[in-house]
Amino acid sequence: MISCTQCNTPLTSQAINTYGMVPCPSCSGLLRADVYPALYRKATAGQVGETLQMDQEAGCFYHPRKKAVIPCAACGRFLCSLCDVEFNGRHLCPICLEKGKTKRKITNLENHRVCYDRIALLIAIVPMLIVYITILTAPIVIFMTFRYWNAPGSIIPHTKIRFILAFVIAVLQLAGWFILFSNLVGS
Amino acid sequence: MHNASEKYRRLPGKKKNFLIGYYTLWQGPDHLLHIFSRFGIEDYKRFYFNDIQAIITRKTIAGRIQNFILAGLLGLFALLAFYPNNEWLSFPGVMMAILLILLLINWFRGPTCETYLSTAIQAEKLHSLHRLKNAQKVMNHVRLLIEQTQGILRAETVDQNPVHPPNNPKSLKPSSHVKPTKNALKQEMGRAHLIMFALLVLNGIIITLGLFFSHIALTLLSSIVTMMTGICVIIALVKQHESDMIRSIRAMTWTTLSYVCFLFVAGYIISMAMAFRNPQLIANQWELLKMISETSPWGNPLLLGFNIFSLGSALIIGVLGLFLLKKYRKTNQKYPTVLTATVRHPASARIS
Repeated sequence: MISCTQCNTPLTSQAINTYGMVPCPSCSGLLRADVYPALYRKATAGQVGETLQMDQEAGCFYHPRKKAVIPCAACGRFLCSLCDVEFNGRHLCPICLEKGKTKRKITNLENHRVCYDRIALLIAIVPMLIVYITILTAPIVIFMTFRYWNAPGSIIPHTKIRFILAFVIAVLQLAGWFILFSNLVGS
Repeated sequence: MHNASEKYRRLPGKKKNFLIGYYTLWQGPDHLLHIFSRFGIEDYKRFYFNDIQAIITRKTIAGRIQNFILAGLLGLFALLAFYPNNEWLSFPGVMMAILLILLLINWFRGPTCETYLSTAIQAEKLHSLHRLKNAQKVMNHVRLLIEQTQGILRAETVDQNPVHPPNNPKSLKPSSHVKPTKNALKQEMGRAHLIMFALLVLNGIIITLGLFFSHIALTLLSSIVTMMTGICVIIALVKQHESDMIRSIRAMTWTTLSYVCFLFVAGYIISMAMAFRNPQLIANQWELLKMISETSPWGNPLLLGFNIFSLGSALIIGVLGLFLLKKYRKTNQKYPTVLTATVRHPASARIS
């Protein structure tokens, strides 16, 4: 059932897929509801593994009494239909799927990333408001640039420009401190 | 190795979060990627084209309220700039210019909206699509992609299954027919909210009077009203928890909390500054209070700016809150509702 997001009144079929703003029959708020066939699709029941009938049949690696139907695309272990996880057109076992997530081998399973280039740039720029702490932050930025240069960045298109900028700013800050100290020593 | 980032394309719309971070929406080969970024950390949510059941957008009045607030503040600073005895004109002038630019930007960006995307197991708010122009553009674009994957939904299908789609047999009945359950949300009429918003208006009036009359009674009264507002905010927050209170009033309560916190912090800073300037008064709180009340805001641009911001915010939040509360009470009397706990989260009520 599709309902108004404001008053929760169910929308009539006339208000659905109009591809323009239509008033809600109850609260008169303007809304647009695009509905797709997935809403009316029947949920498919999960498959259970088929029990082995003959000794010659291959069994599932994880459930030896269940009939193997497919090998895992990553590790090659035989899987029953219960253990078979289809993901991105590949048939994987739950262990490989988990490994793919934790070891970042399957990008589509990642739901969190740390972008060190942005952090380095922030650490390079923000302390410039309080100039004195740049003497501490500039070495940190340089360390981060080298340490995380090859670390995976954002999942969306990105370049190394932030790392380069952060590095240049940090080097300039250190150069400034060096000149200041050398002048102090000289005087 | 194939570079995963190359496959994403940015879709229009970007929304800044209240304090930190921002939301964006990206198009992948077979899914939409919703990103929340803050301080170099990114959180991802994927919505596969094959799983998307519906996208709903609704026009909101948030943009109009923003325009109203900006115009109100602009008017206040304009009054100040043209005040005859004011010798310091650059501060209100600069503020007016900034507010005017913000007002124009907000006006050009068009009306605001709320967009929700639903799948079989979730309904997620797409924060980045909060401008109607962008939301419509993205919905038109995404519709083609989803229809390529799922096919086109025929009108007959919608007509034949208007209420109970096969995979959701326990769809939500009209709210008035829902029996109260163990998890039922309590009905809240908002008495604490009413007192809180009324106190805010009162505080705004007291601060306005304080601009023209310097008296310790006004300062004391303002402090007491602020304290009472602070207490009311806490009560209102407790009352609105797990209640059927609408989101706009909830948001206004949280805004009031921010405002009260700001007043407490700013008041503390001002009194500390006064105490440092006059160290002999540190031990005598009464004398310190008298000194604060006798300090004319017209002689100090920062104090004047603080007073204008305080009175503007108090009046805007208070009046708007009272207006929303009146509207809410009227609707609640007309359509008394008992909602289940699952409905409290706005996203969960969209499709059932």
